[in-house]
Amino acid sequence: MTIKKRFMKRILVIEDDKNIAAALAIRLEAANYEVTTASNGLEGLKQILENRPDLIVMDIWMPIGMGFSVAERLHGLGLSGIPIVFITASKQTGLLEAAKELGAVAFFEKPYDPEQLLETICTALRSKELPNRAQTRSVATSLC
Amino acid sequence: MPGIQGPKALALAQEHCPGVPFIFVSGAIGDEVAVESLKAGATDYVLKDRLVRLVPAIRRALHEAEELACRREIEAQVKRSMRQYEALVNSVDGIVWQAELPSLRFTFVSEQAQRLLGYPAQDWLEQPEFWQKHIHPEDREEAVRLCGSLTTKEKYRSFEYRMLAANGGVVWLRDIVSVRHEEGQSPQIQGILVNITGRKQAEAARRDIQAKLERTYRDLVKRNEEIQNFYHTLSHELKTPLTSAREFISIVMDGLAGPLNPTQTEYLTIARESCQQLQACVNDLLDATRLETGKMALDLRPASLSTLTAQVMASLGPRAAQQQIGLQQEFPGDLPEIPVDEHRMKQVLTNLLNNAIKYTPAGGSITVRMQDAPARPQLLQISVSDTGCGIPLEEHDRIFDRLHQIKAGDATTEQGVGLGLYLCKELVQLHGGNIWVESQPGKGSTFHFVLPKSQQLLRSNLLVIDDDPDMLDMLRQLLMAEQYHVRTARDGREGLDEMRRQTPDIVLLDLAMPEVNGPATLREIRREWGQIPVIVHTAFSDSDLMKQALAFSPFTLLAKPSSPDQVIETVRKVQRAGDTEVWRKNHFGLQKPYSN
Repeated sequence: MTIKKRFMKRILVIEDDKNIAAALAIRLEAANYEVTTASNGLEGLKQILENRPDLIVMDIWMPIGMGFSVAERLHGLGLSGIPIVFITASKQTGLLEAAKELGAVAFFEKPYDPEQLLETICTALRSKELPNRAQTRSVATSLC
Repeated sequence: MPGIQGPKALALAQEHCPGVPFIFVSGAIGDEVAVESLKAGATDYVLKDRLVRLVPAIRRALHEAEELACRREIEAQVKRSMRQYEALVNSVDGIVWQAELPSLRFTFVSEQAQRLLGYPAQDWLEQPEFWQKHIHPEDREEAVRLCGSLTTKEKYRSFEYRMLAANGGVVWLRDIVSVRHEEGQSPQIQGILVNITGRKQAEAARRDIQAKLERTYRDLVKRNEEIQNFYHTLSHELKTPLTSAREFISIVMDGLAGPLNPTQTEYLTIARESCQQLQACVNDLLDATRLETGKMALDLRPASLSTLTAQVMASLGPRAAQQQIGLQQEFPGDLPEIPVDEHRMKQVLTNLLNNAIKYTPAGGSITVRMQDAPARPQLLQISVSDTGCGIPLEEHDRIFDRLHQIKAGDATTEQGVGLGLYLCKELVQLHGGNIWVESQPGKGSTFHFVLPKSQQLLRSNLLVIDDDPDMLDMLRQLLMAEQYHVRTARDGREGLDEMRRQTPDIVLLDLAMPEVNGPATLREIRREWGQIPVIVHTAFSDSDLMKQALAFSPFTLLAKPSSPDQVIETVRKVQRAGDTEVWRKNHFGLQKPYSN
């Protein structure tokens, strides 16, 4: 079990809505990832520094520590190699562009499509091992 | 003399014919008598023994009499002109004044001074520094300085200041001042003070209104932002629990919480669909807010509309099949890519197809056609036809309104917040196109929309026919500034020649013109170019000319005088409608939409 765990990829979910964080954790664990959660940006940052996850799934609007500022700090700390997947319920214009600029690997609007999310995470983790990082993908969930 | 004495005769002559010279001729007379007679008004005195002096005396007397008459006439004239001048000066609606320099002591003010400020004219002249003392303290120094510094080099100078009236009020005056300096005299300053209180008050009122408008505008902009932010927050707050609900339903349905029996799966499917509907409503609401606050921006890129339509049809296929509705498409193979926002265009197509599915009974069919817009090859026309319940004529325009919802009972199931067609209309119009419906209750509906094939082609070709060169020039400049290609013609004949040279997209036609007038031109236009869009631009909406023109309707009426905004708005409407909408809406003998 411990050997298996060592090879499991670790994903950190930073999301202020407890229910969505739980749903994400269930999905990701079901897909064989080791999942930890943080309910705000600051806590997330602490966990990143302590545990060095392989990938971060992060909300943009959170009461303490916006998703973007966490991403910026990671750049400053030389941790920009950790792929970030942003998830947001906001439809404000410019978010996708901002996420791209911060080198996010994907950007999902809530409600997200769980299959697409899992596929994107899987691809991101695989391409992380390759020299060329995948480009930011925008996944516009079909809304109608 | 017997009967009458000389002095008596002199008195009589002076009484009855003054001005006629009177010479005494006498034998002998003392010096004293002579002096008395001359004092009494005699012109001269000749002694009989010196009669030789009589003739020169008469000549001199006549000459002097003439000179005197002349002088009297001149004096009378001077008096008359003085009176006229005074009347003129006093009738000027302002205070005409004169003062000495550099003391600024007033030497003249016209009678209006009393009327305007309530002080008698004497006060101005007699009280030293009257003028200075009655200037509003805030304006005094400047006004005195300006007046005192005036030189003869300047033609005139005008400035504005306030004076205090006798009734305690404040009067705004404009002083137009000049300096006169004649040889040998001290310099004079003169001017006219005009009451501009009304203008100043109007200006102040205008500034007030301006400030109010600016405040209102700022408030509205702020309010707009607030509404936008509110809806963003609302959308965020609604979506977060919705995401969670849908996710947990999915997790359970995907078996991550243990196996499910078929009934459980069925119920959860319903729950998930409800989540999806709720989500669509939230999105529509947000889009509508964006459109209303002008925050909707399109990302136009060339795309194949047939591919987009096929994708949308594929995603809705299962739903149509479930309701036993056939989905067909009729696309020609050679459609070009056109500039659209893919996501928004999919939204339009999805809304139209969803509606069609919603209102079509089982066994019906839905067809999507795509072709060049009839008579307007620069537009691509997409038509979604169904065999559903149809829409009554009176609803045709209203269904595109915001907040309009077809009455319950007409539809099989109510869905959405009724924003679908409103969003379609707004999104199509943002693309530079237009949308309309043709429908008969019971027989089905066809929603048509047209989109420009190129944003450049949005530049329509206009022909303006008007005999007034100023009007032509104004319209040309106005429309060219709006990026239209504009040609002009000064009468009907020239207009028809221009049209033969190159067919315009829209004709703007004056009715009252010499030679070939508006109705005659319109008749020829209809004969040669059929139903080309025409805007009749006329001041005579009820005239015989209009009645004659009506025989060649449909056309859009633009009443003169029209504001630039009205002109542009009308041209845009006609341009967008392309075919039907404006012609039907904007009256004149047309009951049914025009069809090609």
